[in-house]
Amino acid sequence: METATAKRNSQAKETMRRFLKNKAAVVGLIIIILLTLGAVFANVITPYAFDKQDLVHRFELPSASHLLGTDEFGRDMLTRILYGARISLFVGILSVSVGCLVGGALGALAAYYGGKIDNYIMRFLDIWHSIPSLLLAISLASAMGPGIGNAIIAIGLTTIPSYARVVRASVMTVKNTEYIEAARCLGANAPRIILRHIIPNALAPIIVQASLGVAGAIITTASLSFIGLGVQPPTPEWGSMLSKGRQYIRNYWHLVTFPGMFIMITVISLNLLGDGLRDALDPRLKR
Amino acid sequence: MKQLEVQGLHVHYITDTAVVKAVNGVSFALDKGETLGLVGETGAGKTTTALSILRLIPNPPGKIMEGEIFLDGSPLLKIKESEMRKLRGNKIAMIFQDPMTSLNPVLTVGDQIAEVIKFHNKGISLADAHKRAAEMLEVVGIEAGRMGEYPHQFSGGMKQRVVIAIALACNPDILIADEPTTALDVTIQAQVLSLMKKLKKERETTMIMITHDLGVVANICDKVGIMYAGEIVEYGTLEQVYRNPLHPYTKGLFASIPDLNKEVHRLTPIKGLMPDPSNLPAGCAFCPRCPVAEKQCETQNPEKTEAEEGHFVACFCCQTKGKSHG
Amino acid sequence: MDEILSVKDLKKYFKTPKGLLHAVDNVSFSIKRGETLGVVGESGCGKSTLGRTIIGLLESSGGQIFFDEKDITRPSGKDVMVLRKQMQMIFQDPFSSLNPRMSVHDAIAEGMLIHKICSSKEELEKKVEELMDTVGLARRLANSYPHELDGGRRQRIGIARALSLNPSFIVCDEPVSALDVSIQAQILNLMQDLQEERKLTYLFITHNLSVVKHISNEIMVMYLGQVVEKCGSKELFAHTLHPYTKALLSAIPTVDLDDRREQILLKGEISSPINPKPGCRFASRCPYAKETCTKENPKLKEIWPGHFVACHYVEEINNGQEGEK
Repeated sequence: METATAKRNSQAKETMRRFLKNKAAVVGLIIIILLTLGAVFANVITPYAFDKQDLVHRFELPSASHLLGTDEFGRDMLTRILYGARISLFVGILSVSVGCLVGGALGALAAYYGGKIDNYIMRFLDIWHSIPSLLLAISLASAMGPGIGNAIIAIGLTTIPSYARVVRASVMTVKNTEYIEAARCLGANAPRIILRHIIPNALAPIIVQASLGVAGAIITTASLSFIGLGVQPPTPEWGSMLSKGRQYIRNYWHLVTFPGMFIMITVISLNLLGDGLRDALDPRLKR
Repeated sequence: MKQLEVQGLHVHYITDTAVVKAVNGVSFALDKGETLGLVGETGAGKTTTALSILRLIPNPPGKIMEGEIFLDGSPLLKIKESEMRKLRGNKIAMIFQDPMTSLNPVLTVGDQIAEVIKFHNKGISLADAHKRAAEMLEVVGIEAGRMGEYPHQFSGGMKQRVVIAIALACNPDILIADEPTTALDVTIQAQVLSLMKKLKKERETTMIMITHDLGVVANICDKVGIMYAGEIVEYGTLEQVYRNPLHPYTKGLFASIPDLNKEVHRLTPIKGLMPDPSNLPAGCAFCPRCPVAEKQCETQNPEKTEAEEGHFVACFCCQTKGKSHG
Repeated sequence: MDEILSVKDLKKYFKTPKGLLHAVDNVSFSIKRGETLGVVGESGCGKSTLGRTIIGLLESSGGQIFFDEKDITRPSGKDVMVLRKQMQMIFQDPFSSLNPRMSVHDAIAEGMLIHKICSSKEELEKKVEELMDTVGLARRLANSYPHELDGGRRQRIGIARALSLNPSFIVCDEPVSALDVSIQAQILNLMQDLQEERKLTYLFITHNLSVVKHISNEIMVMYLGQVVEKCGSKELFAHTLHPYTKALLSAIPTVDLDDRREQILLKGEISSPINPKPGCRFASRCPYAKETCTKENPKLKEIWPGHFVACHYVEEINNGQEGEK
């Protein structure tokens, strides 16, 4: 087993080297790291508190004292966005992970074993999928009670079927290749075949789906917050900042623009990162 | 005048990282009704040569760098694309290797044949086109009643017959067949080959047969060109090349195949591998694998010389021999 | 007994929406240790299914398989792991039979890791290098990936992987069909050398009769899941008895210009093995078919010592030939 880990290390190095060659992916990674740092050190970076109202300076445009302006209660936008990143990044990434892991595992099992197991899993997920996802998230969140943790689980659960479908499709194509037969011939058991032979070759579409899924999750959180099931005010969160700011869009553009931009930047960076990761993990693209 | 003449054809595929020299100076000429077999291994440039004649090289990355192609004396590489489109299918037709993918799965077989006929015969009525299509199916040995069926309802051999019917629908002067039987079973291959032989005789079609199977060539071709690394290293009539192979690569090919009629305990393979076409050796491309290579082979690429009438070989071994004999 | 493998009435059926597909139907044979049995037939004749059923990738629908005189038709989990070391397989397509994300080293080491054959990393490295030497792969390629190599080299990896567990029996499923002729000869020679060095037994599946004649001691011709003719390799070519084998032989385009035998062109194509009708499965294409042929399935009979044929009228068809003999 030692050998395997030693070998994997050198493969990890190789993957790293390929990843670093991809400029766009590195930029994506840097932005994500900066956002994360901003979120973690939000209290150090800005002099304001996220819930400090200042009714004299309502709806102020960006200026030296308020870099991104202030909102309808005179709270500093930058501060709220930085604190909001804590929630949004956390919720986005975690709920996608929940969906990915559970959905991926179900999809892989369904595709690998096929037949009845496939049928049971996929029909169940079809029913799951047929319920409108927002409605499902709302009912799950209200059943479990409000709070970030429950919101993450609720959003994650609603995305399971789509991940399961993607994983199932790509596992199906990989499963019927001769190298899987060859591995069975050597005596490899099911976990080894799935983990070592199927998953690495079926990963690409999942990475893409997941990096796009983060944006969806952030928006869904906003919807949950909006009806009081997600994050409780005054805690800031990008999605709810966006939906609150919508009513002032005619007169105060900066209320929607900045949270929207941050969501966009996050999604693009994750996308670049995901693409880079996908390519770096594929030795066929080695140059 | 020759019907088809290819002179000094050079085709390169130019990518960011490398220039792949796929075809390097291929020349041949064919009379009406002749069949040329182009034989070679993967990457020898056979298909690229064929696609150049049809001007179907994907560009970019492919580019015809040098050379001329004449069809009935008129230069093919100089005419407009719109004119070329009229020639394709009408004067020159091509059959591809895989009958499974060269037919459109959502159109009936009859429609696919009729479409080609309509395209090249402006003004023909739909009914007439379908009548011609039905005749074509009969020609290749499929009942005309199956016209309304879809490709998936046909077996592999039948599909390849349909592909042949499409190719021959406009009675082309030249038919290029790229490994037409490689995807088929031997007994089906025998059927398709005998059909092609019959048709080319009846219609006096000039044919270029691209294959890696020396047996298929012996079965159907009059002339043979052995290709290696984008060059024709030996060219001559079937009899000349098969009875008296001169180039060491040709000899190596014959020694590599187990012959049903001979008993050999061990085969004599050609050592080594085909050179990387983006990094060809300076001299003769076959030199690193050649059992009789000499010093000059490493630096100079031998010119094609005529060893006997109509039998060309690109190897120094024949030049010296030719001199000493002459 | 010197028979390493013997198969009795092996059946493999697949359920399809249209009915039961008889991929392998009542096939019996045995292979002597150190010899090669060639299995020939066209696509759809069940030859690959036969190989996969014997090696245990597919579960048989009936019949028995004996390996070293032990019944391995339904092996227990423990037996399976032992069998994996004794029976291996070389696959047809060197492009799809290697995991694109595993380096040459990893692909060859995989089997030894699974069976925990090596106690240390050094031992594994050494074994992998030895195997690479054995199959003629340069050691510097250890960290390369399959897509960087050509077909011949990839097939060498496949052979090294099969040899890594030191098996005594190897199923070779069209191992050279995807390769160029000059490379094909290299691989065939390598396989012959390995057989001599390691006393390997091969079940060699192919559609290429010239290759099978070259490498086999015995040849078995299959048609639609059944054996139609079986005999020594030379015997088959010297005295072809079954009408299908005759047609198959005559259909091969030969490079010998003096050998312009008349071709027997079969009509039609191989029919479907789904719910086959009673009678000889070749009857619809057979030039000699009579009424009996469509009613009764001929059994494999020993016509001459060691020469088995499944045809009702084999004597009649081959009258001339027997006279010669």
